[in-house]
Amino acid sequence: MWYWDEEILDTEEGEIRRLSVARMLGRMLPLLRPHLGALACGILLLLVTVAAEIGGPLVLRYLIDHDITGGDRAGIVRSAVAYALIFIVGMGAGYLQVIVTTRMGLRIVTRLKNRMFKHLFTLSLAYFDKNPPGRLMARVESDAERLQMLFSEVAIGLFRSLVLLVGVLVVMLIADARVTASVLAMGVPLCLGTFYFLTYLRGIYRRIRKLYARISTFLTEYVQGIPILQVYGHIEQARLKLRRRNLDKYRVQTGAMFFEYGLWSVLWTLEVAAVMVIIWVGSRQVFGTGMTVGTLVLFLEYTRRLFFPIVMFSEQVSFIQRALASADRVFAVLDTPSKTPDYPGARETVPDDWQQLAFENVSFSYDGGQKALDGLSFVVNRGERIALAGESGGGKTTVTNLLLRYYEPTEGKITLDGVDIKGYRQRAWREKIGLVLQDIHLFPGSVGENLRALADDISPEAVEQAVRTVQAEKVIERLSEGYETELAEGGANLSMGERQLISFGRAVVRDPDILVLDEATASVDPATEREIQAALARLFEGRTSIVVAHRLATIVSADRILVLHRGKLVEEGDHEELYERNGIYRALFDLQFKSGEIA
Amino acid sequence: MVLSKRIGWIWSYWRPHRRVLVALFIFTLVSSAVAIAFPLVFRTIIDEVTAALGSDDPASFNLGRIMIILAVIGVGRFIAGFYPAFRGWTNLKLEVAIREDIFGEVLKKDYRFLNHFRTGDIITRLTDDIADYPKIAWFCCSGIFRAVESGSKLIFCIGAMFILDWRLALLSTAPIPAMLYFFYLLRTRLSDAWDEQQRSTSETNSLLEAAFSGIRIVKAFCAEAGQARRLDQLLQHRIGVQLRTAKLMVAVHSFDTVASRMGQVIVLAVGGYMVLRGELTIGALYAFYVYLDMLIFPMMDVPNLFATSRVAFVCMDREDELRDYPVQVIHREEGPELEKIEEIAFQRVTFSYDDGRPALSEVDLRIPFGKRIALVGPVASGKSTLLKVTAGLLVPQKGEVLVNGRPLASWDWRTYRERIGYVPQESLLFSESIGENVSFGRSVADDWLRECLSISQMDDDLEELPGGIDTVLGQKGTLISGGQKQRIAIARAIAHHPEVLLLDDCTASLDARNEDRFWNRLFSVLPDTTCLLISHRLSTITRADTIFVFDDGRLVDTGTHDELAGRCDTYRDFLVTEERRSDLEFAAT
Repeated sequence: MWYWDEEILDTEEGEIRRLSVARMLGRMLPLLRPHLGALACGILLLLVTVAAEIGGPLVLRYLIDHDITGGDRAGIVRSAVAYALIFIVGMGAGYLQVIVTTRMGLRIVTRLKNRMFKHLFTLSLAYFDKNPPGRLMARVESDAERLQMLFSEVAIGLFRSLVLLVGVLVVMLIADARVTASVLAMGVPLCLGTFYFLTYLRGIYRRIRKLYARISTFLTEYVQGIPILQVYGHIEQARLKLRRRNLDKYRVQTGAMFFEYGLWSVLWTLEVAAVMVIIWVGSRQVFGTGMTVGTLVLFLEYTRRLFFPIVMFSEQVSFIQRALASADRVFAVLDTPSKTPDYPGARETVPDDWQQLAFENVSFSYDGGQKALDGLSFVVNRGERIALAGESGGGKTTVTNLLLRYYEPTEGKITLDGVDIKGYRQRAWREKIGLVLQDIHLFPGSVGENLRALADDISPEAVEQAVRTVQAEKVIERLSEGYETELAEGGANLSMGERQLISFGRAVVRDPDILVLDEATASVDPATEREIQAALARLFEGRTSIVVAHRLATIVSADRILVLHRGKLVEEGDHEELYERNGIYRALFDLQFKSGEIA
Repeated sequence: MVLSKRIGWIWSYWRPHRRVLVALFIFTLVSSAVAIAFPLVFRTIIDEVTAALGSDDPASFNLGRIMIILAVIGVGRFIAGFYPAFRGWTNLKLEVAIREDIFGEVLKKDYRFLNHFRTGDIITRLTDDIADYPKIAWFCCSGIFRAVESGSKLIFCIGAMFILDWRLALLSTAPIPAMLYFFYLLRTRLSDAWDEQQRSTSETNSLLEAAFSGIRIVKAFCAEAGQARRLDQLLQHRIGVQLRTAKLMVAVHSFDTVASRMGQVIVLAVGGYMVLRGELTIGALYAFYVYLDMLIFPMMDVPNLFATSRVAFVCMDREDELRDYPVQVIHREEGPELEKIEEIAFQRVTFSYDDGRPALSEVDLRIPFGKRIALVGPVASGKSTLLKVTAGLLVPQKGEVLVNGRPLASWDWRTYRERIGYVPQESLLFSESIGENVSFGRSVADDWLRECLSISQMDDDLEELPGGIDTVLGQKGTLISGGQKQRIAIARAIAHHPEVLLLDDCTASLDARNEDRFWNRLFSVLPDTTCLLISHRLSTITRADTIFVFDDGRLVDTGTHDELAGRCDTYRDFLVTEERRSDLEFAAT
């Protein structure tokens, strides 16, 4: 049997640590710098809670040794009050500490998320093509959150355990050194043993996760293949195959579990052993060197609290492991270099009076492999309406990608009046272009906000003008709160046609010179189609447009059609010319539109 | 679901492990008893030490006896330490049983089920919903027994305290009900805060998702700054929400601690006083002190049962959704056994996938034995659907499919499916070796296996693949092309010498010459096999004895190529479209 999911697991879990732990800590510490005050405050409060926890049993000891032994009734009340005060102070400090450290952690992670988000926007489109939205969301959300928990919960918890441990040991040493020494003599090998044990367990748990992933992939395959399983009568065998995989995981997991709980068992038993040691040595002290009963009680009480931090620590280890893997991924995102910066000396503005846009011998391939565009050359004059046609994969979308400067040509150049567009700042260039894609891509927010894609440098007047241009006023009027109406998930409170109109309006909100449009292929009812055609006409008016055309009307009414096949320009002309020529264009056209539909 | 039904659900999986249930229950009580015994031992120790001190005779302190008692407790602790392991072990047993059971149910489902549920969703229900904490498997054992454990600890604790001194027990446990009341008051506020936190988180996620999947729009509209600002707004708001939740969480979780500490204050004051009056020993005082500490965790844990049960019940509902989803296509293995397929007939068969337009409409046809029939027609005219109905994967809403004159459903399904071989349009193979994919659980002689692969024109491919017939397929195995997958699927279909072959456009990946060889070989090795094949290639279609022309779900005409080309418009249109397609291929090269 092949376990082909192991690799997926490895890369998903980031087992291969990029940065060493030391370097990673080095990168995380600067995140704390703006919060040193809060950190100090938190640590102080933490020390207070630990002190309160150590102090409680001390009051008990005092009560036993002095108040009770001395018959001091008032003293008893005083001690009880002291105990109450200590625990109130401890709890108050604990509450405050959680607030301080949580707020600190939240602020740190918010800043981190903001940084990641902004940085991601500077990355090339190739990065987004390789990393699906789900993965990026996991980076910005879950991985960053895990880091926050590392700071505000785990680190604090560990620190607390450590301080408690040290504090308790110090007090115990002061109270009676011999007893403490004997307890320690047991504790040290115990800690080491626990550490190695847990490392071993981690390996086993990795195996279990892999076996679990095997089950998951098996199920995926077989659930998708249910019809085949039924037709080939493979049902019972499929069930048995699942049983085998189930049992594989079950066996390993059961073993691991007994092993792990065996450790806890040993720990709990050792607590009893520690008590035995304390009683043995302690009773000798009590009868010999005058150790008090109260001190004995103190030791018993502290022993109970000693073992707890050890248990806590080992439970945190696996979380720390995963959190470090998250940190790795977070820093990997932040370290990814921005691939398309502006070139030095890039011009701030694109001239308004340009006349010609040209592709000059442009070649491009996405991944150094097959060429998506091969020596493409064409010219677009200002005000023209150009349609791109061809089979899918022929290069039409690549042309729009290059026009928007999502990618740069590997050979050749795109020029505006002869000037390479690389010479303009990317932002300035993109402001000149209005984009309409096949998928409309709405954002959470109001209609007004969507009309400007959440950009905040566009005035309300510009938005209103854009709506007027595409005659979408009635869409706004129909909505109860007009521009402020919140769009439901995926724009569900708008109809298909209305959503199209909004995307058209959005395209012209900066009043661009050039329009790039990737037509939707879904067919709509005739009424909506007419609306869209009318809006498109208004869209095209006074602008230069390059359209990846799928609609009959769009193709036929274009000034010029460029037919792309396998990255090359194979035919050029208007509809009548190309149809007459009886070449690829005609074959494509006839295939897609039954002859006789040309109205 | 009503509680009694839930209990029934859980019990159905517990029943084979009845004895484990009893054993666990006993073990729970033992474990709690051991935990509660510890402070009593402390009491004995302290009291004996105090007594020995007071009696001026140190030797009266019986160290040996104490040590023995502690050793017994130690052993008890060691055994009790394994108690959670037994719980976990039972969790796993339940997990295995539940997963296999639901999977078995899912395997019986038909196309409606697979259309209704997304694969990822089904997988989640079969994996995480069962195995995660605190979902079904955990809840059915650990969840319930944790509550029993905490409950018994609470009872034993309070019981021990009452046995030691009922007046002090009453006084020191008095704060508990008050604290429980405050806890109850805050609970609704806490769950509101949780909900708000959930909303806030999903708002953030929506923005992230929209920004990443719409990255082209963001960049094209130079909206990066605006989007970043929006995220910042959402995150700042979220800080406030999360802080509020954190405060409430701390408050709620500290109630138990407050109750126990207040009890300890009472123990110190009142208990100390009682010691002075000789009504209580110091050892007992310390025991009370420890018991109040021990109450904290069980008190926190019992309400947990309600929270985790909610999660687990939701998951149980999701499993039942899978299990109870109605199945329309039932493959019965009762009824007369089919010996040989003489004829398959469709009588006014109408089928639609989702109560929309019918994919097949009043189809009447006869498929005689031993003939080769080509199905042609434009896209979505019902050809693939016809094959699936013939394969028994779909059941027509109207009309009947008759095999040898009797309805298909009346035969023993096993004997029918053993006699057909079905190759769907998208071939589904599994992550096993090629050989295993072809034999697919049936016992197929090795040389016949190789022969089948040879017929499906896989010889050259097998030579190029490193493991030959033993090459394992899959993502970490070897990735093969779509065409290779299809040919392996063909081999799989013929491996059991079917009487009827249903081939859905299975030679698209072969070039003309290989396709020629394939058909020749196939028809020579399986000369009597009835073939229903879908193809777009003229060369393939003309090999058929008869052609069935489909359009829009109806059988429009039948005949030979020449007959149809002469009289059938639909057929002629089909030919023209195919010609244009090959023209395009030609013009483009």
